[in-house]
Amino acid sequence: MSGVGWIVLYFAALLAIGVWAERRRARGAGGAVEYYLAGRGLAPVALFFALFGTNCSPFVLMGIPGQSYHDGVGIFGLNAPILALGIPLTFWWLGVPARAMGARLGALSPAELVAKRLASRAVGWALFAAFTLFTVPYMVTGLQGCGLALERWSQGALSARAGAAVALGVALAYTFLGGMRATAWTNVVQGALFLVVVLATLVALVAELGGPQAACARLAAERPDLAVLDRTRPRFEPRAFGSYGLAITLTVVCFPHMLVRLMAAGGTQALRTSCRLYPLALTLLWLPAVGIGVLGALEFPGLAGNASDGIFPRVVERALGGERAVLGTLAVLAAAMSTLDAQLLTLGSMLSRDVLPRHAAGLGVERLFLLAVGAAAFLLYEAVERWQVSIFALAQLAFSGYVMLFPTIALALLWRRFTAAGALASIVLGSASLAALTGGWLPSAGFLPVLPAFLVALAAAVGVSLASAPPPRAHVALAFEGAES
Amino acid sequence: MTGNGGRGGSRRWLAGLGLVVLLLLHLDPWRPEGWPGAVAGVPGELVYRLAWMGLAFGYLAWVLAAREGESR
Repeated sequence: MSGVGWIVLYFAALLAIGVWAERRRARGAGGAVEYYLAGRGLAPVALFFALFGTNCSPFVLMGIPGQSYHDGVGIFGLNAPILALGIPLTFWWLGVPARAMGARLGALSPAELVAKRLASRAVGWALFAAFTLFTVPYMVTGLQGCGLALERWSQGALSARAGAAVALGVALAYTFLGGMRATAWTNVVQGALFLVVVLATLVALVAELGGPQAACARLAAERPDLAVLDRTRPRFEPRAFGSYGLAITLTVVCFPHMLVRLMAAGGTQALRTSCRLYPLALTLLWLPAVGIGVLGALEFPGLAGNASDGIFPRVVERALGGERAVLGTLAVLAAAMSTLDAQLLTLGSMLSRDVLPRHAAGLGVERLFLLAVGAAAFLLYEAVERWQVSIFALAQLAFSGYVMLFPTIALALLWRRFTAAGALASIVLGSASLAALTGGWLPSAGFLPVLPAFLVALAAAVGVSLASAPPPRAHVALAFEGAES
Repeated sequence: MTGNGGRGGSRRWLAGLGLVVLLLLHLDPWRPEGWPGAVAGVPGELVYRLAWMGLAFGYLAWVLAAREGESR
């Protein structure tokens, strides 16, 4: 089959899943709970891939090999171990109460969950604003990944703009049709696809270099600097290393498109299974991603700056060769679209449930919000392309911004004494501190700005909650124990 | 209140202690130069991080199993 055939087949498979999910929804109870949360019944396999596929964006497939190309195996130590521990732990500690509390309070989105728990619409609006501010730039990175992948594969026959539009159109179509169930099951296809392609690429590259021993020997001989953790590099300096670890550990569970998937789990056992599988899958993805960057530096030396972000497609073309090179494009599309669909659905749900006045028109109107989010993301993508903004810098700022929401989300789920005033103070003061530290108006003593700003957000949440009137007992009991308590 | 409240409390303390030990081993402050050299040709730094992950997987399995026990 030709490259075009594989890409058409991939898009057709996603659309078919969307149609299947819509038929299943129509046969069942239907309604918003079914559309946005798959009836709170995602099975273990679908839940695991929904979490894994949503979490892994082109940042892992292209950004990590690109960073490893310059900084070596230290990139693995900086990211993979702490993620493999931190993500499942935060999913477990926050996911179980989020799922249960969401069902008790009838919440369908993360902002709605926290707003109902704290009985405050202002908290819902503040969270919606923060989630949107941080998520839309992140969506643009996905569109850029799709555009670049299709432009490169078609050798310019398809512009990056057209490629991004096609990928967004397909993602919107199946999400529009089948909601959460469609995005979860397309993530099964997408997650399996990019995992297999990344692994196969590393195996083929190592074989081309003469096997594992020969590849390691060549690395030691030609680029020994890539085989060690060099603490003199700014990103590996101990204080930067530690604060980066904190940021990437806490940020993922605060992505609204991740938290909403935890709320859609079919039960505690489905969550437990996902938490057990997660570290293994992360290892299987990150080890090849770093290996491709490090060994790619031997095969394609001399890529300066951001040019190294193109090392993954180069290695795929060299190692897999011929018609199979399209697999690299499919892997990037899969990683980007599996994140994009979840972001579209989650922002669409928050826009319709948390911000605009309630409407009685049913799913037809709910789906229009989804289209509005897609259109907004594409407009920002066009602006970013025109202004030549560094989107990875934007994404990094967004990841730090999510961390400022961690105290609000975690304390709302775990601490009965937490108040709406504490939440608002935490969001405002944490975000303001992050902006001041990032802008250099406040000193950060060698740590990344995210660490001191997080401490401010946490202190504000706890301090203001204790200083304000406690929430009504009956409402807290309803949130934590249910109506029967 | 369940009968195994004391055991649950001990588990929480142990879980906290285990997390602190794992984080210290991750930050690895006593080896500023990292793990140079190689084990069977594989960079020592990579071997150390994979070994850490092995420990972390064990810890995670224990935490999840402990919750399973508590919920019974």
